[in-house]
Amino acid sequence: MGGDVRGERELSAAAGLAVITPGRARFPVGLLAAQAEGEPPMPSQAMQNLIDAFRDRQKARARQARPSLEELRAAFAPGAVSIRCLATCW
Amino acid sequence: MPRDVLVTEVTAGGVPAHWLDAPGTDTGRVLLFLHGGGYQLGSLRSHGELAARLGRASEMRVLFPEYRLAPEHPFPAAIDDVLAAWRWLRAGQDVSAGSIALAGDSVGGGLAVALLVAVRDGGQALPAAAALMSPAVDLTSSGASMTERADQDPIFTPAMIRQIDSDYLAGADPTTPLASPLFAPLAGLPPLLIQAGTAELLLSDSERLAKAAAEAGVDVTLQIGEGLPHVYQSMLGTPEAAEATEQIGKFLRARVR
Repeated sequence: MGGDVRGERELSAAAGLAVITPGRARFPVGLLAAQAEGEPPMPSQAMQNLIDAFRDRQKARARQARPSLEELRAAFAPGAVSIRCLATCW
Repeated sequence: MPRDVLVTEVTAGGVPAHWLDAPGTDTGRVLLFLHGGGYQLGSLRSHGELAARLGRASEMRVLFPEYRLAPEHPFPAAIDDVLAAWRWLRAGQDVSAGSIALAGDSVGGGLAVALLVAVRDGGQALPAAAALMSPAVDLTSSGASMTERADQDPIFTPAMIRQIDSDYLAGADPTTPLASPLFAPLAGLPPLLIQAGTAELLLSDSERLAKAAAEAGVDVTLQIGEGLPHVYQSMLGTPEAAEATEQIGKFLRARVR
């Protein structure tokens, strides 16, 4: 990861997104540039709650048999919606 | 699905699909949304909200194809279906390429890039732009983040990713460009917006895709969310998802005629 050319960087503080817009002939790669400038934003509390729930699910999954594909398909939903089916989806 | 979004079933080139129309959207501009789910999961039920939200943000109607899933239908079934839906939009619905954009999350992002490569290689006019959310573009799983981010990804493990890739490929070459478009020449592709989080195993897919696209002269913007997981755009109710949605909407509104 990472090149030696810096890209243009904006910061969307409202949502903690580092926004990197590389130029046509040059490429930064953003993460290093963003971190070098400091202030890496943290996830919001709402996002952190979801991440914690995903981690709990990941731990639970390690102790459980994998559901069938049919069960996964029936329960699958990405993101927050999937918190409703933590025990069964990916 | 938001109650004010009109959902219409349609068959797009033989592929079951849905039109999603939010109030006030421009029906002359189409966002072809390709869902994720590891090529095995995903449907309008799982991804309809995200697709509709992007349609609303971009002020475009959404075509949501239900491409065939693995393992019953391994590679190249998914990309074949997506291409069929694209051709239907262009020829069957007479939508100009410049009035179409692509959006996809996870493997849907990979399918979007594969579609661009196939359309370009076919000498056809390309969509106006593509928005890619945590795209999976390397089914060899060779990115550095596959190991470096293993303890940070709250959703996937490397073994899960490898199993997903294997089930879809079913023996096909993992470097074949329509499965792993990271390995395709990228020159000539339309503007790309790529969003990913640092807490995901597939971060390197986004970074390498952005780097390769930029080096090929493609207008590419990479947005990396610190500490955010795979396809955080779908995490309804978070400010990160709201901001990412707005960024995508702004990107598409500026590029699709």
